[in-house]
Amino acid sequence: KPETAAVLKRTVEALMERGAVVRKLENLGERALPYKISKHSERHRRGWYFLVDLEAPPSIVSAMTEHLGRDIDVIRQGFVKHPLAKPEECPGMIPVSYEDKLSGRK
Amino acid sequence: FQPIQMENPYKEPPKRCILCKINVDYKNVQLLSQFVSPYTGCIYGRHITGLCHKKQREVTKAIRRAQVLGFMPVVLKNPQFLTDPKICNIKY
Repeated sequence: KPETAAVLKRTVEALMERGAVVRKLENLGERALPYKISKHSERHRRGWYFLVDLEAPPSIVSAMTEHLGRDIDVIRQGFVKHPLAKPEECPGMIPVSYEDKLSGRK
Repeated sequence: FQPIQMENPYKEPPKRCILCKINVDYKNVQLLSQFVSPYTGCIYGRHITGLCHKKQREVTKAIRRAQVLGFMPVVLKNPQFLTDPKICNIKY
């Protein structure tokens, strides 16, 4: 458990160095991985899942993926955009006439 | 007397797909596993799930993301969620 804390601290410090603002850090718990992952000459079966909310310029992404890839304790890393508030209108399933689509132009 | 032109007054509201008001996230693996085959783990197409264009694309993207990031297994369905109620139009 202190090792995970050390890993987290390292990553957050590296992020702050590159100029990222960390908003939230969520712990999704320790679970068995869905499939065995082999990373850095070791086969992993269980892992801790963490979610870091951050605001950063997009140039950080490649640098951070490299940095996290070199870290032995990090099994898999990924950057995902924030899901923005989508417009609420969903028009519903309008039946599409396939013949018109076929004969019409793009 | 001429017939008055007006919109069809007996028009029904357009059908909604089952995920209409639900926010699809790559983190809730249970919801995403319901659209995956329990035998092969492949994602069901639109003719099986019965979702509208937007939601089907969102679900597919979320499933692929979850599989890559290590939230959801690829070649099979998570055995915890095997007993979930059937949503898709498929016969086993």
